[in-house]
Amino acid sequence: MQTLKICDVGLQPDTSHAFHSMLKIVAGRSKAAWQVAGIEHADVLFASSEGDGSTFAAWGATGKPVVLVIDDRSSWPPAPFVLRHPFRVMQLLSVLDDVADLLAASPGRERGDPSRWSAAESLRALMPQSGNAAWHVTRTPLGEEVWLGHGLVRAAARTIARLRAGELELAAFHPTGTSPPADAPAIAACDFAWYVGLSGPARLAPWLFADVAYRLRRWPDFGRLGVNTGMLELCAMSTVRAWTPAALVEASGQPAADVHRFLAAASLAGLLVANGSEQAPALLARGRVQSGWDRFLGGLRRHLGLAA
Amino acid sequence: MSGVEAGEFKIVFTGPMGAGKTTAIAAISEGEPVRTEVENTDRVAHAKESTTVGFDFGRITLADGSVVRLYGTPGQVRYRFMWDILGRGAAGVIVLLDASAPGALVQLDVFVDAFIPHVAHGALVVGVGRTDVPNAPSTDAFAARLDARGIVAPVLSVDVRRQGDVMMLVRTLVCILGSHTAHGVPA
Ligand SMILES: Nc1nc2c(ncn2[C@@H]2O[C@H](COP(=O)(O)OP(=O)(O)OP(=O)(O)O)[C@@H](O)[C@H]2O)c(=O)[nH]1
Ligand SMILES: [Mg+2]
Repeated sequence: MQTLKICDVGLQPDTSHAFHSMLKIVAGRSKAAWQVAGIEHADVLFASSEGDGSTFAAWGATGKPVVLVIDDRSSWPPAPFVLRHPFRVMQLLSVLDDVADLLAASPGRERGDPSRWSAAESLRALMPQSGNAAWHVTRTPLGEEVWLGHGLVRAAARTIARLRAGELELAAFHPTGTSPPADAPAIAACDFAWYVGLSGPARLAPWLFADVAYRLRRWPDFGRLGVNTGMLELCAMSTVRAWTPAALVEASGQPAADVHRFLAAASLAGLLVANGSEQAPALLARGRVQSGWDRFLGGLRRHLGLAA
Repeated sequence: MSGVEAGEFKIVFTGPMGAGKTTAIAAISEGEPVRTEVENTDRVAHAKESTTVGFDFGRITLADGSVVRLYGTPGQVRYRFMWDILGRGAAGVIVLLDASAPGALVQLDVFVDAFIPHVAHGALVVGVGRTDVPNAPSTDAFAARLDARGIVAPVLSVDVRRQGDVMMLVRTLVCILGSHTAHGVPA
């Protein structure tokens, strides 16, 4: 059995107390042996979503998982491991087992080159609290400012347009005492995260693992985000079952760079889950595949401009 | 229960009154679609002038001459008996909703419940119009509603008056059908 170190930060005293007593109950039942540790030695962070931004940013850079604890007024954040306070032992156990599965599935941790992922990495760390009132800011290479806070990203209209077109490379976000101009156009932080993922490097994002199978828990709203047929195919495939990045490249026949960017976008937007880290969706009723079906589908796909 | 029966491949557009089923089919059908609209006498439910009482029918002819049939259901619950008649044998279902209409989220449940028995291969796509109206629920709210029921189906904001948006709904549906056929877990 693997031993995993966990560190709790920023919890209310009663939540922290509950967490520590439940960890004792969980011992021997979880897939891993859990040890409480300081943040510098921990494999997993157990943190309040209201916590301190710089802790999240520093933790996000490590690429290690975080279990977010939200209070009963918060809406569900786009993060893979979330517990709502007050939680029960079985809920804690289930989340810890999911984290253990994820870590067990990725022992070698093939990490990409982190150098060009700075905006994405900081965004990943900040997304759980992107709804908070504090603003973070970053700049484009041309010096245009892009603000993140209040669940939104605000920037000049032309900056947003270039971002949508995948033309922007951003530096990491950092906290700021200033606010964006009141009239700065806004887009939802989740949509922004999607675009940042799509405009990232061609390699697999450093927080994704080559040997983990991923699936989509929810479709992006392509009506809002814009779409090409390649992405539609990847989404359709990734809601049917989970794929490792290489298997998705192989089965879709699409360039690895496109698949990697799709995975980065989906994970930054909180739509991607590692297989086993959440209950698989109930498949809708399936019917018999009748003769003539493939021919029809092929003809219709050609008609719609999809690869046959 | 689904697929190509007697050479028929049909896609059903459904959803409440005024969601845009007739408009959507007209946007992508070849030639004039068949409509069965009468003057709308229920201006309380919706202010528009006409409403579908039978069904809409449109078609797309493929290069090999085979035909994709597009059916639009009536939206009013009093014509509910038509839903099952039209839903039977559908290759896929597109549920259209008007986010600015009161109870739009509940309408999602109503139409998903009515049509899920007819959709195989997960072939359900939701198109939501007028999400830009102040205080209208976002597509995320509709998607969360499906999540809560364990249904993973695309929820896309659309304006069905635009042909490109309606085509996006159909393309998405066809991608799902293709994926389930090629990669789905056998029943
Ligand atoms: N402003 C606006 N109007 C829309 C939008 N989508 C559809 N409409 C309008 O809404 C109306 C929809 O009407 P129909 O297409 O008849 O609706 P239906 O779903 O067939 O309704 P029933 O047959 O009565 O069930 C049309 O007048 C469209 O032009 C949208 O996104 N914005
Ligand atoms: Mg109609």
